[in-house]
Amino acid sequence: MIQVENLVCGYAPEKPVIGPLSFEIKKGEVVCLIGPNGIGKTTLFKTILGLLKPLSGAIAVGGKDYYSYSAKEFARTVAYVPQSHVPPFPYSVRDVVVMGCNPNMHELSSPGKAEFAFADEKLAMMGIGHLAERDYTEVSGGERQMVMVARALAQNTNLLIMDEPTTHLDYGNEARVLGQVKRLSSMGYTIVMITHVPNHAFLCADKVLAVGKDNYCSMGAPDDILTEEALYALYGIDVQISEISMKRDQRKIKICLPTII
Amino acid sequence: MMNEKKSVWQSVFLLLLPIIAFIVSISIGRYPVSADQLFSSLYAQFCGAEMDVAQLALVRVRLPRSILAMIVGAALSLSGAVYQGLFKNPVVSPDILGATSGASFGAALSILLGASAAGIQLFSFLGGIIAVALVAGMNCIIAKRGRSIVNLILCGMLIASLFNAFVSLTKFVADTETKLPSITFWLMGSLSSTLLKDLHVFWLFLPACIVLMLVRWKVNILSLGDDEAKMLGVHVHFYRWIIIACATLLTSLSVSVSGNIGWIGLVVPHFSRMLVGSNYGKLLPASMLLGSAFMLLVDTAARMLHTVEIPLSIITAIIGAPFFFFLLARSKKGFIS
Repeated sequence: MIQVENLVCGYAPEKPVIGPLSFEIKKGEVVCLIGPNGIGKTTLFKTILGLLKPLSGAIAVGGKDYYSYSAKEFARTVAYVPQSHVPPFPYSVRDVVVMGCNPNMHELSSPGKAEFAFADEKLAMMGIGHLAERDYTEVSGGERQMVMVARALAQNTNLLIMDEPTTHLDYGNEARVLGQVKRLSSMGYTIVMITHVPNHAFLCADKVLAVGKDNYCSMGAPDDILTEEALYALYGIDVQISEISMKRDQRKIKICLPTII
Repeated sequence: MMNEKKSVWQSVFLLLLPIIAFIVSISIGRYPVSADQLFSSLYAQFCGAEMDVAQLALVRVRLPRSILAMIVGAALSLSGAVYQGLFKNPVVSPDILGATSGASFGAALSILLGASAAGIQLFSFLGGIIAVALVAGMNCIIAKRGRSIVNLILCGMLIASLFNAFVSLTKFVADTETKLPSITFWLMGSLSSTLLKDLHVFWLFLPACIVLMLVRWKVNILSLGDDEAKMLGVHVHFYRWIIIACATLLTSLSVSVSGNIGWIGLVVPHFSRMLVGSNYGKLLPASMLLGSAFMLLVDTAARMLHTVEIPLSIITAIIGAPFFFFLLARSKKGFIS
């Protein structure tokens, strides 16, 4: 789905923020992007999303060089799930989700019955159908994040790019959002997300893309990439990784905890 | 569904409101007019029949004035509403990019130079357009790296304050016996000198209004911010400049025929939001209808309250300020966050 070659990202040519990086994200994978604060994860994301011009290197999305996309075509290929935020006006949840239909609508038309039905379907898919009439500004943070995912689904793509989907969420909502990520992945969606918690990668990722200082960049299965040594190199802290077996299905899963002194 | 029924009644109400306000505004005045007289005068106007003095006054003075009031009210409310969405800020009004100040300066300068009424209108209209064109140009110069909306607003503030200084300068050098009072009164806003031919502004109002109506749903998406709008497949810069062009046209034309009328572009969109919600699909038509009705009532009040006409901006401020406080007091989260 996404091929990146020798990509260098940043705001000014004389001061590149991150890169050169090369990696490939395949169809159907869930990939967690992990790295310390200030390393340029957001810059990399913005570049992949076409919001920032790459300083050098190439990005292909869906097999096409992304300069060949119009804004609308791009939105039909990639759906971006921003960190949930409060818009200046209290739109209803349904009105927010139906905005995701925009790339598939005629340029000057407003959403009609078909679009609203599609939006309702996506809301139901995220388990928040009952919120449709509520103001987006009034629902809880976890629900708002679900609304953002529903809006991305309304774009009718199968590639979702999520920017820290679990920040500001309580423990329960964090688990619910990760559950939805897993469910969407089983439905065939390709998902790329930034996360700060290695456990998220153990819980729901197929692959991890770790970026760190001095052009450190490695990609692979979470168990291979997220080792105690690698996490020390990334964050400069000692962590301990153990394997536990889940009570429900005896599945073995790794967990990572920092050593706090 | 219950909701659909409700929204049908709401639409009927919003459509009837300007019509009722129009009939009220036409009928009352120094010479009260009955429905009978109203129709006979209109009939006479369109069939070219002879008219008596009262009929002439009605058709040549009161009718154009009421129509113009509706146009001005609709224009200011529309541009206020789209600017609030475009700049992601509920406290924005149509003068944000300097259109009002530019138009005021154009008018003040032409009054100083002794231009005719038509000249004042033209200068004022061009002043508004030029001010916003300057803002757009400045924004282009500083926007090489990242085009942020904050830069645009700052350029607007800068130009607005510059043109306000120019207005003060023209007042400063104006003859205190004749020119200064007429500049001052003009700036306070009035429709009292409206003539039938002033209605030509309708031909500018109509296309701008149609364009805004066509793109109104996109304003929802634009109000989420540039990056998000782009990710949802909206050509952000194209729509932004189309909307700014239309809003500038509407603001400049209303200032050019009625002077400076504050508060309408700020308060009417909020009032409409209270009635029909935030979705621009409904909000924009509602703002237009409510704006025209509100302006008609304000103008009627302006000519009825006192033997001397009260400037419009004084009345809109007296109504607008308490209403804004009411909005603040009952505000749910999301009004000003």
